[in-house]
Amino acid sequence: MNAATNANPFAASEFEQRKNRRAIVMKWVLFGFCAILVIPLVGILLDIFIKAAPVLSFDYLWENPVNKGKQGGLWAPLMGTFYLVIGSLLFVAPIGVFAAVYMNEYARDGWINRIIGITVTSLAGVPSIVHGLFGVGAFVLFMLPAINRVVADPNDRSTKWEAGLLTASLTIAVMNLPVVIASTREALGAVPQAFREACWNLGATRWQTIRTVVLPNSLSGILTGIILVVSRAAGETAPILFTGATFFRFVEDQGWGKIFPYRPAEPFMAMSMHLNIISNQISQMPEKMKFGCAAVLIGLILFINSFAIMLRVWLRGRKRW
Amino acid sequence: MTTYRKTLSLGISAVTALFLVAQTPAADKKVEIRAKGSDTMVQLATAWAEAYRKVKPNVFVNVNGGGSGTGIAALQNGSTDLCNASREIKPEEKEKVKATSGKEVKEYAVAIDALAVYSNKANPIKEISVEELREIWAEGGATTTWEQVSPKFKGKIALFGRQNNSGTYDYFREHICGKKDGKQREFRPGISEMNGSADVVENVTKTPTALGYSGMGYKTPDVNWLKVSNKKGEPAVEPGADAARSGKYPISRKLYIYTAGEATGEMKAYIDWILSPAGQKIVEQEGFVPLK
Amino acid sequence: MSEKANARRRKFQFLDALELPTEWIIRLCGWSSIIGIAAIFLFIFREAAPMVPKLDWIHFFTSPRWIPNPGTGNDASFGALALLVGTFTTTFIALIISVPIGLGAAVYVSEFAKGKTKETLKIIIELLAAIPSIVWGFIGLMILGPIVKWIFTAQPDTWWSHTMLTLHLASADTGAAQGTNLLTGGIILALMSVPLVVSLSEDALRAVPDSYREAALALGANPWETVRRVLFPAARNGLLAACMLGMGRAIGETMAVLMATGHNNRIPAALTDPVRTMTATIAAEMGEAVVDSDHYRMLFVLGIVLFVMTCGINVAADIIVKGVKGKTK
Repeated sequence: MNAATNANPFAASEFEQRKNRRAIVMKWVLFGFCAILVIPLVGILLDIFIKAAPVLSFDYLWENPVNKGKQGGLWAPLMGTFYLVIGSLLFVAPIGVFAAVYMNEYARDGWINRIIGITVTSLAGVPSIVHGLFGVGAFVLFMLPAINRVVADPNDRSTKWEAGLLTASLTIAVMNLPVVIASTREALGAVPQAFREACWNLGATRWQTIRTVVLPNSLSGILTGIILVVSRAAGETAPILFTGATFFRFVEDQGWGKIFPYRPAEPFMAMSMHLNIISNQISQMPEKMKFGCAAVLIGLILFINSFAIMLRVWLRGRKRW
Repeated sequence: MTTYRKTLSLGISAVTALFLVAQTPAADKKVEIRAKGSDTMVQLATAWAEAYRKVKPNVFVNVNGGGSGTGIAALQNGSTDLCNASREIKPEEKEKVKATSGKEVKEYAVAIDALAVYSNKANPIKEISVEELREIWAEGGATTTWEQVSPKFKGKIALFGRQNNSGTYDYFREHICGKKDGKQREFRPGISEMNGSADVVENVTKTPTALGYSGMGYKTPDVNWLKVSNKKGEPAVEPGADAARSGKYPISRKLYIYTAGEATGEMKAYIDWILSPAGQKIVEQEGFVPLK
Repeated sequence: MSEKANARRRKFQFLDALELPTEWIIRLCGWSSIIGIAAIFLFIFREAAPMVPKLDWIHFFTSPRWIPNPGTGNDASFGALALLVGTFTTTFIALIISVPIGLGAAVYVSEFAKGKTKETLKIIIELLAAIPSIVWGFIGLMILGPIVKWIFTAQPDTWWSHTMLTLHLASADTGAAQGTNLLTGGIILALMSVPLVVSLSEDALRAVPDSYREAALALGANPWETVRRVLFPAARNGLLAACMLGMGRAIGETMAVLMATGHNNRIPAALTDPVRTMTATIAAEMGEAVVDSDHYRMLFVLGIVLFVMTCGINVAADIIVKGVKGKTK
């Protein structure tokens, strides 16, 4: 009797203790899974930056590649990537934002919304090399000859438009469209319906509501999406392989030609293409140059993405609802 | 307009104006020559282009790879001025160039290349014959391990070749795989097809049981090459300038530049410079064999 | 409302006059993704079309002989079996690594982690997702490849070489010849698709109403039991879709496999044999193919096969999550 009244009725039974131990074990196993993800990544990044350390300096970023990339810096590829990003943003930002506006404000809950949703998901899942093939088929082989028929003089080769910044920007724009649409849609959806209803009650038209209330309040989400697009455009290789990127191109070492080295209708150098070629196509390429290029590219992407994350956190803190 | 908007629009128009101004052609006539084609020659062509800029600073030579086949096709559709090729142009390809551009193809032999057979530093075997190479590389060939070649080394042979539109691939297949029942033998399946001559050598350097073919200009101190004889038992010859030129080395070839029609103006000056001692010195520096 | 704000608002009022054309532009942009998908299919098919009637589909799917540039006098052979096997084996290895790790990490981050750990892990996984594929290929080539090669190298006739041969871990008794092979490619693909699986699974788990968790807690379940018995069945569709989208990503990846799998067009006999996937073949051979030749068109045919596969997977995942009728949440 004594034992019965002294026993704690809420104490865990043998069975429950076993289950609790298993739960704790599983928790650490799952933490181990996370560690498997994080630790090799950190190790790999450290390895790359350590091997690239002898090369990284301000001059490395400011000079052009010399001797097929075995010496010199990364200025020309950096500029190419920069202009590629700007070019693709010019096309993708307006179209993507307006498409999301249409889906969220004008065509809600309809069959058209569902179809657009499916096509956005499909577009997001298209392999990057297929985007490259599309770029070749649509822009290089269809759009360029059409433009050349109007613009180019068959006897003067310098007026002929070639695959370059324009075609590559368009290809990357098509590739990034789903990202902008999805993030803008999320941002627009986060704006409470009450805001819109209040506007309509005051007599505003749909477009007025969108441009004065909805868009400004969803700016944080839209900006985040656009910054994600920037990092994707900077890192992708397959779509620009055949639509305009080239490995070797003369770029001025000083003067205006250094800041604006590429015209929209000629091939350009890009960081991702540069890394692709110097990794295994140039004989006797010093290891540190390869790791240097990889380090700069990773650094650039991580910087852009961290900026996006910080922007998102800051803007979310500023929200007034 | 507020000052804010004024300065903003002024700033944007200034940057746009600068951008547009930068598009106007340079004061001194900038000449662009496009060279396209062989991956074997791409480093050589780039070295020529960089050196020629010191000779004539307003001439820009844009070099692209893609394989000899792509270069010849570019010649056919007029999208290149010079075609670098590591194999001879075929008669039907010549016809096509004549049909689309109306001009005859002009051939300039610019260097000599010996196709070296590379092996890893760990491999003690020093020479091989064309017959043995045939059994290693051709479809249906009998040799798959190093023990079958010589008891000095063990392991499965890891083969590294070039991608299938390469002139080097074509040349090696024609001269090493030979013919069977009157038909050209293909390569055996299971050969790694590397993009670019340097890639082949790098992989052979990293893989102990490797065997690969590439231009002799891509040799590095970290890799061996085998001496090649025509038949087993005959004296084997090392790839080298004299052996390639005299034909003693069994797998040597000429490197060509093709143009549609006779080269004129800046293009002719460039080709003449390539054939001059200055250009041929660069051939030697890149590891190939100058013509003389 | 300040004078300045009013003045600014008046300045933009001209945009109201443009309402009708603006709405038309918005409508057009709304159709942009439909136009985009249709255009992709159209233009790829346009380039591949002349080849389609000439193509022997049985040979395409069953023969491993991919010889687009035959010697003089021979016929070209476009057998893509080795390429298909390459794609599917790399994807398979990527999936068996990434699905458990991805689901596990998602469960840990969404259910077990609190506060700072959770935020840090989420940021790290987001950064993992941001690394471009060319850099992953570089990592596979320069860092992971040598490690894999070192693990799988042996002197002939040692116990490790015997084990490797029997388990089909290597096809030669000296071990892995190259560092860039099926295993390396699979691991890199796994590392690339894990962030996608984690974020989508997290979304799926978060979508399960809290009332489920509270009910399980009320019945006395510990956290692991809640996950295993309540959350997994409830979020089953979302988790399945996450894995399918991860698979779609692995199938479609190009640059990473181009650099990390070795360029060898054959059916692998062991885990450390070099292979080639369809995506890598297109990327490697497109620059070399003469425009409008049979080889060139065959590459576009490969592109169509890839496109159909990945679209199918994506549409299937979408239907699994949202149901056939399409209940938008």
